[in-house]
Amino acid sequence: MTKVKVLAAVLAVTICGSLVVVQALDTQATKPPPSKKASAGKASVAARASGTQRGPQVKVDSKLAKYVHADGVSGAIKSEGSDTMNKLMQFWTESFQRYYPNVQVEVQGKGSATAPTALIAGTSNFGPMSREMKSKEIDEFEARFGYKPTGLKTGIDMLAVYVHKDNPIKGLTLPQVDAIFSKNRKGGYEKDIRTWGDLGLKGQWANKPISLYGRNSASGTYGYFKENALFDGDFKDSVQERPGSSAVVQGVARNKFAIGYSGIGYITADVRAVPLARNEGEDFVPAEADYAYSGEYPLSRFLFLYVNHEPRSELEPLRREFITYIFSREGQEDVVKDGYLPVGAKTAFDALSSVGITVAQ
Amino acid sequence: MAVRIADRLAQGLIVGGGIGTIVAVSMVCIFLAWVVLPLFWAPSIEPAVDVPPPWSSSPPWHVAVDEHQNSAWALKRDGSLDVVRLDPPHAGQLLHERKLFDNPSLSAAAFGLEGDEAAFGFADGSFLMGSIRMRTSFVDPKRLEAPFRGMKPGEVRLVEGDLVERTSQGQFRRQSLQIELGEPQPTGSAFPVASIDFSMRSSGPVLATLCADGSARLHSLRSVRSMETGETDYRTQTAELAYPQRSGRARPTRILVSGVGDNVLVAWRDGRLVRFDARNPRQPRLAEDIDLVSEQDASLTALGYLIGKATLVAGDSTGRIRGWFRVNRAEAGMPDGKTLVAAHELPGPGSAVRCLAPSARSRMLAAGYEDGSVRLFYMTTEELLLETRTEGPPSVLAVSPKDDGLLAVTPTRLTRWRIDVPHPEATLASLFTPLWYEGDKRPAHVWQSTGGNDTFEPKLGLWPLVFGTLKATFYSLLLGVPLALLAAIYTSEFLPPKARSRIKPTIELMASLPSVVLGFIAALLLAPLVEGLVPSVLTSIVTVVLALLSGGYLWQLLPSAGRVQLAPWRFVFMCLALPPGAAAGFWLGPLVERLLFAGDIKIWLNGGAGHATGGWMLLLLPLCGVATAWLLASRVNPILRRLGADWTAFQAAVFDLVKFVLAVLAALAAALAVSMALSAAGFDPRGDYLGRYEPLNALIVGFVMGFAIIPIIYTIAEDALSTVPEHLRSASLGAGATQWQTATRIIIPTAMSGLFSAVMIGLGRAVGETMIVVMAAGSTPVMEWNIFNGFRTLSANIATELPEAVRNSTHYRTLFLAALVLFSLTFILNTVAETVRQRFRKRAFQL
Repeated sequence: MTKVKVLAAVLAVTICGSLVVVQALDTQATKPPPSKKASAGKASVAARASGTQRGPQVKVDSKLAKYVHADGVSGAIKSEGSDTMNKLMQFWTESFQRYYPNVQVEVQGKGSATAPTALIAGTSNFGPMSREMKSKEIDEFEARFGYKPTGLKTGIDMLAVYVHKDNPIKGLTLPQVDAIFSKNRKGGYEKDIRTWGDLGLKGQWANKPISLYGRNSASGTYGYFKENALFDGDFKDSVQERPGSSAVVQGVARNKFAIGYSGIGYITADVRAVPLARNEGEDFVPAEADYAYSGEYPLSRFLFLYVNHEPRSELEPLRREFITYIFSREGQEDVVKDGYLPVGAKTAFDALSSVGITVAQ
Repeated sequence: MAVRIADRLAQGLIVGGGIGTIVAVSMVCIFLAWVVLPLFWAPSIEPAVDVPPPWSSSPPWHVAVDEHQNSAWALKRDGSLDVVRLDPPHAGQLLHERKLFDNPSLSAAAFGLEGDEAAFGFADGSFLMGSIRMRTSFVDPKRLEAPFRGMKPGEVRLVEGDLVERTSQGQFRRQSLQIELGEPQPTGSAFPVASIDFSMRSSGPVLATLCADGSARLHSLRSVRSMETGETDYRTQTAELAYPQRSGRARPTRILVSGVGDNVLVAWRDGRLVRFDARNPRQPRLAEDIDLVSEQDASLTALGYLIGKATLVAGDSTGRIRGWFRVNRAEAGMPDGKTLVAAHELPGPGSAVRCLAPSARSRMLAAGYEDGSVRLFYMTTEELLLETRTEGPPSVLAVSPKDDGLLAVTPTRLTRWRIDVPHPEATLASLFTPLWYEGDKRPAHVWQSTGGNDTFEPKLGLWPLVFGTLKATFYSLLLGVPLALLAAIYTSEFLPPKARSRIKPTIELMASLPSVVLGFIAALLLAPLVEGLVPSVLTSIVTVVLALLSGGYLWQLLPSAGRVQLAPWRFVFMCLALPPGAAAGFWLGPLVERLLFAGDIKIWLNGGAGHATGGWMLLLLPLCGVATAWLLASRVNPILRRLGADWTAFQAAVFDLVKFVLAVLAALAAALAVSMALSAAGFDPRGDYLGRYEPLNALIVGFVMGFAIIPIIYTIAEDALSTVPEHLRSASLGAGATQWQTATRIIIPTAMSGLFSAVMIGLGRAVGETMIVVMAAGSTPVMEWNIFNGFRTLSANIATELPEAVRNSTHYRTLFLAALVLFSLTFILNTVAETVRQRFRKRAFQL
């Protein structure tokens, strides 16, 4: 009996010890020692500045309506889908619960591909997706319900290519990004890019191989990046697939010679979003709001919220109010709070009318 | 009596339990097979409609079916567009006829594979862009007249000129044709446009026109789209495509633009093809001039693209269809470093190819032949999925948008088939043999199951996953088995029983660590730690072993009286050798890195610098060590034993130590010599067994998974050793054998069956282990034995991809197949293990 006790104690001590060590390592990784901070100098300052400036810079369209409380809202918001939009869904549901405290909320963000399955099975009533549904998924849905699912454009995401904050690279063209991440190089870059030297970096960077971080294939981010940055080519087998957007950013923050891609909402002070250009000879466009709106930044996309809306029917109060909230001024401010870009009043109006909600414009 | 009843009862329970287990396992197997089997079911085709076409004079240029296969539209050569009903009782009935273009007359047209966009060329040398699509909307039942409201599900009726179908869910679905046409623009030539094609680039459409005078042009319509307002603005730029003339040849007949608009192809009837590099649409450059049809008397009869517009399909007059795509091949000397290769060949019935129709969502291709046969292929696997016939040669084919129907137009018939091809991408060949995927240089085993859109070519090669599983197992056994077995031998044979009774439960406690915790530690703690200290970790593997061995030899130097007294504490003293070993490793690491790996092992591994000797040393040193030890034991030791019969214990110990040091030096020298020889001969281990360093790699997984399987192997091995009858041990010791001799010659052979099953159970655990590999293996499905890069195992792949797979899709079923493969892998391994164990056991009983 005493033996068991001793063993249990040993086990407890081992686990606690390892957790403490992991914790220590974690804080060490996110907080660089002061001496390093000084040497990092401008790069880290710039990264942080662009991270915080984006908030106040982006203004929500003033033509969007303010949200007004409605009656008869009850039930549960069940959302299953995109990891990119997970935080955003939480912001929305939290604010929504302030209006309707008796509404229950369940939000899961395992990847965009989980959204259609859950919508079809009826286990969720909202399917956030960071990409459009694929035709097979729409077919499944249509076979079950007779009509197609409705996708609402709830926000705009800029996909950023991240490097470590100390990385001196000025910018990348899409064909270069393609040559870094893809084995077929459909973007047309002449040669494979394996080291930072291949991108023209000098000194200690010159012969350091580039470590690649990416999202797992369930994510819309993966598909979008494949389509737009790899020109539909295939990822190299050496891209390390991480299960979440923040895991990619963390990976890049820890590995000085890494590069990764993920939504702009996940930027931290330890990484830098590389300015991008569509083609060689064009100006590098930083991942900033104005450039996404103007369409100059090459990797921006809509964030979709899919719902099962039977055409010509009225949504029940819960879904109607939640969608109205999302496209209200408050809902779009949540989008800004999460680091994404809000949609304009016209997109919002189109989205609302596609599910039969009429609001005064 | 009571005893008998209890006996019977127990027997019944045991038999029932056993049968139950077998049934349960077979049920799992049956369930897996149930999901997997539809992958290999043959596709089916059945005729749905076969009627005379409504048009008599002008044959259609292009036909398209709506997604519910109730109607089709056909663009005819006279510039008019017909909509025809295809639902069985009314099939062939003309719904609308609309004159799209009258003057100037239509001379060429092209249609997007995925979208609704279309481009038209005219006899006066102008072109325009537009779109034609079937729009689906739902009708409010209240707005329908009474007779329509009584429609049965599946029934189709004509309402206000459009078809309305009652769906199985009771809604009224209406299909209406929507046509939008843009403004005409000049090509720059006054001759009729002979061929036109276009592609949508992110910056706007790119059009290529070929005029009757043989001049080809590229027009890029630059659109500036505002994400705020959604409005688009176009600007056109035109560039001439100049190709070299071949004497005495006819004018080109076709022009094509590749998917992202970066290539323009101009083709002649005799099979000549000129490829332009149009990455810069203002200055297209000539890239390649090849022959698609090599035979002299054969000619090109059909040319088109597959979905994604990267694979070119060319049908010729011999009935052969070939799939061509660009691959990166700088050595071919083309200005853009790429060259077209004929990667796929689809067999024909022997008569000329008349028409081709690609699917809009997969790599299926329908082909119509001169003799009236129609074939459906899947390009990646080159498999002939279906074959059927029409009356007379088909002039146009169309695959329905959902890949569930096929439409053929012949001069006298309009034929529609219902087809069911649920899993064309999966065949035994595509799952287990290398396939030539679009854009690759050669056929390969690839696992890349999901893409962002339908143009993606699914790559479902299971070998990389099977390979990853074997790699994980191999490296974790490599690190775990020796430790576990030696520890078991040591505790059972050399430790006092009291110490044994404490150590065994402690090691068993290791098994209680959940594998997710181990994976977590591996990925977050061990990986960054090892990454910073790669050379030191590698050298300390050697130095720690050497330190422990030298500890043993130093122990022998102690005066024998003290040694006997201290014997129970021998283990503690051995442990004292560990810190110096580790310290030596850390101290030597950077030195070795500087000497052998050009100062930075990661760059060296990446193939950047240094020569191959270091790598060979890394691989050969353990081998040489084992070889030297074997030589010492089998050749040198017997001689020494004879020579040293009358030495004192101390003399023997000193001599042993000297021998050990010499042996270590000899092993080092041998490894160095062989390495240098191999390196001088031009062999480089980088690429095969060593290569690029990734932070999450097989070494990390080996450490942690080795750790995870140690307790299970250790426990079973230790049990097997302890159950060897005590009389054998006593007899051996009594006959004057040392503890070591007793262990190696008596105990281990007797317990071999147990040791073997211990290893096999460890192996089974490693094969199926999931969480550690999900977290620490980097999830890269590569096929390299390189210990410094990652891999993806079957189990990890199932865990990460199953939640994302569309239910009952090919991907979903293939993941179940992966589970079945994993199951059979463990099943085979366990069966082999059991038979071998039985054999050992029989031998052990004979003792």
